[in-house]
Amino acid sequence: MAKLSRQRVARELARLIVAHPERQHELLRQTAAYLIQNKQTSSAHLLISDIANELLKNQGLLSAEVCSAFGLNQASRSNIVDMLKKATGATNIELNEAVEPELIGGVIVRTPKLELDASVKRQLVQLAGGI
Amino acid sequence: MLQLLTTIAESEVAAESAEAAGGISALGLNWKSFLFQLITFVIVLLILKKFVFGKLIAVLDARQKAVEDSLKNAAETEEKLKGAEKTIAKMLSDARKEADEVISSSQKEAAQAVEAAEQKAAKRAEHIVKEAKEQMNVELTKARAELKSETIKLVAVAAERIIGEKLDAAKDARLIDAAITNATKERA
Repeated sequence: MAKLSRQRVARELARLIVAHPERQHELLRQTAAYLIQNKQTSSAHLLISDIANELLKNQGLLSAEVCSAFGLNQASRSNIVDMLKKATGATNIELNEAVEPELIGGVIVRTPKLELDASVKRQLVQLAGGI
Repeated sequence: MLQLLTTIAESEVAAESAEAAGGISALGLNWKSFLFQLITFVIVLLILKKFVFGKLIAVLDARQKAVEDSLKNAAETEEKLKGAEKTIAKMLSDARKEADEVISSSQKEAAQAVEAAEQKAAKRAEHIVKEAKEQMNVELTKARAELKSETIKLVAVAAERIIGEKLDAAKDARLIDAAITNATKERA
């Protein structure tokens, strides 16, 4: 199989995911097989980032991971979505929420291009480092 | 008795008168006897001279020579003895001097060695003390750093517990909203 550039692979995958959302899993398996065959497993995270960029650029789609200690209420969710829309220019935001009590409080928002860590845990660690 | 004495005195006077009248004969010398005795004397003398005197003189000479030699040897021996005594005395004196010098030199060397050892020991002690102080400082700095780290951890743990106990969902939501608002402002 001919070796394709990562950007090209990302572009194609982004298009296929949007066009055929029911084939997401199959597409991901094929992508994994491609990476293994071409010994490019170490650059998988870059490929994911490229796919996210393509989705954002072409489709205005953004998937974000949100971690909090107690879970999000609707107001917080809206605020986060608005912030991401302003920061990334995406039109369609998908939040993947997770509850991590060890954060103590606050929130961590991760996207392929940016990360916001406003957790109490991080602030305590920073405070301790600054003593 | 008086008559006897008178007779004797008269005979003595008569004898004296006869002697005075005889001369050498009156001395009682007999030329023949004298000559015979003289010849005998000479013969004896010659015999003695030939057979005895020579040997006797030789013996006496030899004895004298031996005595003289002995005396001479004794004198020489005495001289040599005196010389040897002088030499011995000198050697003893030199040996004593040399011994004194050796002792004095050894004492000096010993004193110098002791001094050098003392100085070396003092330097070594100083070095050990310096090293110990440096080591102590290093250990102290390390202990302070560890203590600081432990204190920070404890403070963080305590803060976590306190905040965790005080924080609830409502307060957390306010925290999140405030953080998001700040982030939005910063990006704007």
